[in-house]
Amino acid sequence: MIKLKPNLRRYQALILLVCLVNACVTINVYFPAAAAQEAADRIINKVYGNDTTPPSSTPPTAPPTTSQINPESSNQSTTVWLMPIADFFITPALAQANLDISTPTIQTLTANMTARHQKLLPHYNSGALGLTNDALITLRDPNQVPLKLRNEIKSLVAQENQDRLKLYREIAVANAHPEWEANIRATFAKRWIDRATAGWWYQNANGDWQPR
Amino acid sequence: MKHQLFLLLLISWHSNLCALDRITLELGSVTMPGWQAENVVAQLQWRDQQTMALSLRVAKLILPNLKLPLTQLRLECPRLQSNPNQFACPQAQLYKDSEVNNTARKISATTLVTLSFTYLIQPQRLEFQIQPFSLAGGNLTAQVISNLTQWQAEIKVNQLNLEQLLTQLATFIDLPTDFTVAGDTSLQLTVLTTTQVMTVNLTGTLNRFKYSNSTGTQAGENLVAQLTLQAQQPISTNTNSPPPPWHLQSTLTMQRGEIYSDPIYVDIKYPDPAVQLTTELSWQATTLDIHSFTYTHPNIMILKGICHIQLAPEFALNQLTIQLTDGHLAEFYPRYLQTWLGDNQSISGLADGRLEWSQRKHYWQINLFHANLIDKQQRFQIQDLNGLLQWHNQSTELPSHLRWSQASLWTLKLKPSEITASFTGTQFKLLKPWQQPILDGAITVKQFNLENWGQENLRWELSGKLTPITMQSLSVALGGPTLNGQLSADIPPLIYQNHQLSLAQVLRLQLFDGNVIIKTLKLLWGEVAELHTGIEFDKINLKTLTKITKFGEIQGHLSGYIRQLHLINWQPVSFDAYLATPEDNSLPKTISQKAIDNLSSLGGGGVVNTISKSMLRIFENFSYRRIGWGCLLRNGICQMRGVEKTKDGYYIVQGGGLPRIDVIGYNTQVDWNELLSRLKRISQVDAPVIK
Repeated sequence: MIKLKPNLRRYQALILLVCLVNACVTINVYFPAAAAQEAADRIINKVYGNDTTPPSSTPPTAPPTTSQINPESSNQSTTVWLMPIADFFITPALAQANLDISTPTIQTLTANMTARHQKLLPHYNSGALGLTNDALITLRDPNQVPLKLRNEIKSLVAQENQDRLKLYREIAVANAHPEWEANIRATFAKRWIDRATAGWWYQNANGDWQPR
Repeated sequence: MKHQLFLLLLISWHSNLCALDRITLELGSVTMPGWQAENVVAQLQWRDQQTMALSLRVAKLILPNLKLPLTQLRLECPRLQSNPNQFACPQAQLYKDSEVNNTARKISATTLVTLSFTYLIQPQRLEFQIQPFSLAGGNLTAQVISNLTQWQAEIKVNQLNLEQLLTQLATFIDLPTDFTVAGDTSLQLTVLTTTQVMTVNLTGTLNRFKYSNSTGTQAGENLVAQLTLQAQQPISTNTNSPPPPWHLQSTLTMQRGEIYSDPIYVDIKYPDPAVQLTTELSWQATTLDIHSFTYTHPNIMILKGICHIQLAPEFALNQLTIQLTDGHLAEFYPRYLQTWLGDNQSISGLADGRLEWSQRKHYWQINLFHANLIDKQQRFQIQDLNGLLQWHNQSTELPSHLRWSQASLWTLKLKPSEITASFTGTQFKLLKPWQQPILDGAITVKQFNLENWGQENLRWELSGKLTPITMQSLSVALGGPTLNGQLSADIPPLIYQNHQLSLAQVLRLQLFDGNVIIKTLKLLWGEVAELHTGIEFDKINLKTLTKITKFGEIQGHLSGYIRQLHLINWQPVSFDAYLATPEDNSLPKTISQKAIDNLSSLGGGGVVNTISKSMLRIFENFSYRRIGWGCLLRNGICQMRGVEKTKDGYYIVQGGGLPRIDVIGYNTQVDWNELLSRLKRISQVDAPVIK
């Protein structure tokens, strides 16, 4: 057993202190794309009335890195045992990886959209309604809707879009990251289309309409 | 044209002298105003002195409105009769030639039309007739008569399929892509042009007629209609001035079909009386002036109006005035408004109205006569509604006045009342306090202002007063147990903005002989209703209160509070509640055997209950010193407390006098949903013990 001299211990403590100060611990909370997709699929499942697990367009992976530690390379040995300390601090950030979609507002919006979907379904099938590339729906071919139903369908489309916008905002707010709203909306835009039934019309990235 | 006819005449005369039997004229290119022909070849061959065979070939005919020229046209008149007075061709064929084999130079000829013509030389009169020929699933005939001073054309089409016609026309002309029509039509068109005026008469029928613009906001389907139209345009000799306006009178009679003009949907049913639209208008390139129009839907309504529209350089509605008369609401609402405004209510009675629309002034008014508005789910109804409802986009003091003789809200009958208000732009304002008598009291809305109607930032503010309504009449009206006391309140300003309803001041309600004071109130009005409030209770008469339940009579005062009450979708999330006998209680404090019995049975029965029940039968009522219960709800758990702690629990009822009865609760924590279930079973505490 090596017994350190008091002066050496003092130096080691000093080096440790310097290392702690200099080790650049950057905690960045990134948008949890996989978790958002999973949350979107759970909601879309309810709305579309699908019981099966959705096919994932990207292979499920571990949540994206929600923390990034950039220690100086010269402090490699120090960072090894600094990791648990850093992990302690970044735990709250990792917790954001699972999106909460259980708030009463989200549940109510989902229930409203689910009930409304049954009325919209024949018009998705006929091609009258289409899924836009910005996560909304539109009456793309009104002539496919009988004249008597046009007011009702227009009203349903307006209500659906209103609820969808509220849903994206509410998910971001419920997870304490209002700035994620655009990312959540983009995730939903893709998943609404990916999960659509064959034959439904959607708007591709160029804004052109095409059937699934 | 005159020169060419003269040339033919000359050739005819000359042929007699020179004994010619055939003349061929190769005219090359012929250009006239409105058309151009290329490689024109005319050939005359004499059969006898008065009969010739005429052949006229045009390689290319260019008309300015056609996107493609007409090619390889050939007119053959095998027996062109001529004499010094006239030329006549009793039967001619117009062909379109096409080469079927380039190397063999084989020509295929398609007959386009069969026609006849006569030219009278002296009056210079041309008569031209096209024999019936097939076109777009139907057939067409035409006749043209022309002389020096006028010409007249008459065209008849029978069972023309508009879709096929437009498909064929699309080869030659550019059709508008933002508007489609389909269906069958038969019509007769007459055009008469003199030196002063051009007159057009059109009569026709439409069957299975369908139209739509590209956005689907203007559309019709399955229409069966008759159209008559007369149009006139003065002939202008001044080529520098714009063409004179067309004057039109038309009548459109619709027997059946559906029309959608966003957001109005009309279903015209057969054999109901036909709907008729008559119009008189003037039309120029830059303006459309509808001097009068009348829309009559028999037994439902009559609309009359005028309209002035600017067409160029940009479209603008300069003036529109519409007068509604004889509006029978019972038919008008389901036929015209139901798909837009919903079918939750039925409306009857009479109405007339007026709409005035110009670029700056927008105004409408509706007069109601003995109207009835009934909610189909029986939530409300108003009967014998009369008055004037009007709106203006600018005028601020334009009063609307409505009165009704009877109304109801759920089971609550409302007495006659009237309301005077102004409706301007997006604002609605009461012009004088509105009092609605209710049972033996009334609610008075002293002030109500609404802003931003129909917009996201809707805001309104209300204040008023509830003059005493006896609980007896209210409870009878609501179908509940008979109550005593009265309900009254001063309603402080209630403000709704940012989707949130809040109280500007304290709201005091007189209820159960005591006071209920709502100190704070915030109601978020969205997909999820969220309420934050705080309520204080002051000296509620327990005798009055317990009468409405089967719990058993308790006498005395009850005061307390429910603070920090938070409801989501009307379900409690958290609160701090405490209700107990106040220090200054001035009423007798007794609790009935039944109330004790219910309290004692809360724990689910047992030995203690059996003992206590046998003792309870001896006495009718018991005195108590204090009664009270509290609950602090957090995370679904109710932390309970009583009026005073005991060694192991807390007093819910602390007895006084003899026989002394104490009700003690031992469970301090209970799941809220479990507690609710117990309350439903008239249970309020867990495992009480009677000593």
